[in-house]
Amino acid sequence: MPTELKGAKALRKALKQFSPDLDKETRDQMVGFLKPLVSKAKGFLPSNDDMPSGFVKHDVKTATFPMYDASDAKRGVGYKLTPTKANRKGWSSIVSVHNKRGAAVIYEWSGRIKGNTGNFIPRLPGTMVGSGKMSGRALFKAYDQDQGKAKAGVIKALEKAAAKFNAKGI
Amino acid sequence: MAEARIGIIAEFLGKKAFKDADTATSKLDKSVKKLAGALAAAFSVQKITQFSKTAVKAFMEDEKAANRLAKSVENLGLAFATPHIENFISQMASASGVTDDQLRPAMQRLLQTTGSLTKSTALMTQALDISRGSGVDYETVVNDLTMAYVGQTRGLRKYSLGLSQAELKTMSFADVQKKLTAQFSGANAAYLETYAGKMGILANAASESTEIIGKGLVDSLSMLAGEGNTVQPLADSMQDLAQGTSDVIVGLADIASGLKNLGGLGNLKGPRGGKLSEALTPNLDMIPLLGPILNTLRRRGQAINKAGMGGYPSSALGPGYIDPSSAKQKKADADEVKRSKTLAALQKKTLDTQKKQNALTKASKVLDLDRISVTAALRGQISETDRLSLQLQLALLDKNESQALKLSGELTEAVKRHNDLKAALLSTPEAPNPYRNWKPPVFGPVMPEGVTPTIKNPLGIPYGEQVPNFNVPDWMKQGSAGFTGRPAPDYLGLSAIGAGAIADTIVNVVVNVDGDPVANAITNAQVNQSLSGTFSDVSRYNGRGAPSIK
Repeated sequence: MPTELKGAKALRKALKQFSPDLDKETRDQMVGFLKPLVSKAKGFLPSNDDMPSGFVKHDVKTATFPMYDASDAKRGVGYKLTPTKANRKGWSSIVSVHNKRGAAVIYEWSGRIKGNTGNFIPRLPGTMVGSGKMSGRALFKAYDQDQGKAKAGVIKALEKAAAKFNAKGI
Repeated sequence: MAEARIGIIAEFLGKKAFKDADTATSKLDKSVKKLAGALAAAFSVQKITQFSKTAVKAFMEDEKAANRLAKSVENLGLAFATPHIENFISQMASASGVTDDQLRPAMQRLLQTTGSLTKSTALMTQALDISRGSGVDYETVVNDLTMAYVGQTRGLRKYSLGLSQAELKTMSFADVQKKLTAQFSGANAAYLETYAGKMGILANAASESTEIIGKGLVDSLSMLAGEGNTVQPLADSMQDLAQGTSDVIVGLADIASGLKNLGGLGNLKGPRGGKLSEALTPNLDMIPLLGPILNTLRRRGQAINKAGMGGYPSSALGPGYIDPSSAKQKKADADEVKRSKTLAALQKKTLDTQKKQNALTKASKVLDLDRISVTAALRGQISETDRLSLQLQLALLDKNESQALKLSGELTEAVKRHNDLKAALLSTPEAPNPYRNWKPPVFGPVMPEGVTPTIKNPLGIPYGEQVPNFNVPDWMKQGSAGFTGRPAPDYLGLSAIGAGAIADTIVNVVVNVDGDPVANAITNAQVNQSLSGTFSDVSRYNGRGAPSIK
């Protein structure tokens, strides 16, 4: 679950407007913590050969179901340092990691609710890690194995930036 | 687009939540204002005027519906039953909580369909039970019953009678009615015991009261408008009357307030144990001076209503009540019975036609070539998988889904078993040659000493080598115990040679032949060869004469 950091959005905005250098420095620090997480997540995405053949993208598309393509799925994994649109409950992610490919999300989340059952889910390679809404096979697995290091690093970077910004007295 | 996202750092912006809260507060504020306005206006003159209009409108709508029903009844030749119908509707509305606005169209529809008052009233009552029991609204139930009466039972499926569509189609309406009665009987009585049922009756009573007040207002305004009773004077007078009524009510309230202070208000209520309407009706005689005057006015109004000056319900119902046991009523009932029988006969005819159609379809299956070929193939000697395939094809032709699924599973299993067997046979190692250690004996002449042959004989044994000593095993000899302990058969044909002979014994055979037949046979053979030109020693003497043998 994300950690709430009050004023983070305002801080990022202020940094961008009044201290671009500090903003860039903060960004670089955060990216330094997020990149390993993203790389690890990409590593958990299986190759096309390991996936069930019917799920892998091929020339003749037979269904509207998203088809898996390992290279495309890996391109979909990334990080975001700008605030997202607030969800229905009013929460906005200031820093987040994501997987934007439908087929990769299917791989990530299949079996969350019903478990390892049916004809499709047991054929998926890899293991699901975590519990509830924080369970997954690639991105969530990487996040779980990271043991909160990326989160701590990002928070530290933002706190450091806030301290520096306040010290400047702008 | 679907995406998975893990928020590392998040912030509660709460924009939408606050907006929702603002909207909710704003709505609440408006509602409170509206409520305050409504409360403030509750006793205003405008409100009384509005109520008067509503009451008049309700009465007019009710009267229109009553007129429609009366006209319909008249057209059906049941005009004599109009008072009875209206009375029935009125009683049913007050006892069930279903408004007469719903009951009148229902009765009209049932009368048009059945043509019988008795049948229609029975169905109306039954529809009420079904509606309460099933939760389906009353009008829909009546509509379904009407359709079922003429043989269209599709609408009855929603009542979960435990009957298939085919069963519903084959059942007569009387049977359907019995089934419905068994399932929903007493549902209305049970409903009326509930709080909702009681509230329904009260709401219905309030609605009826509005209509009655509306009728009174229209009658009063008609009287006040003078001759002609046109609509416009009524409309013009309505506002004035409402104002006047309001003033009267305020005045009465003022008087009642004064009486309350005198401690006499308790005496305004009726005696205990009476009806609710009686209990709520003030005993106006107890009011000094004003009471008798008001009571006189009330009695006069009642007398006018009873006189039937175009009011409700007498205007819609035509002449007075006629005994249902009259000749016309009996005729209508008899017609209904006749019609029911006709409908039942028609339904039976339709069913018979359907049965014939089914029989034809069944007969057409006999000539189904696919079926014939599959059945013929099944009679032959076929493998397990072929037999299952054919049976599956037959099930598909019969559209027997369950059988097809079962056979499909069996076929898959059979094919799997076949493949397993094939794989097992292919993986079996090659059997060794049973004659690999056997050396065949030498054939042909023994080569001279010192001469080495360049080639071997056809059996692969070099010339000159010793022929292996081959002795007949004991078990092959006739009379031995053999493999099984029983006497061995004659493998080597020793019995032809002589009893007790053995294979390696040398037998000398002497043949004695008579010489003449042999000499004749040789002579004949030579003559034949000579005459055919192939014998070299045949010649002729001086070129003539018979041939001779030199």
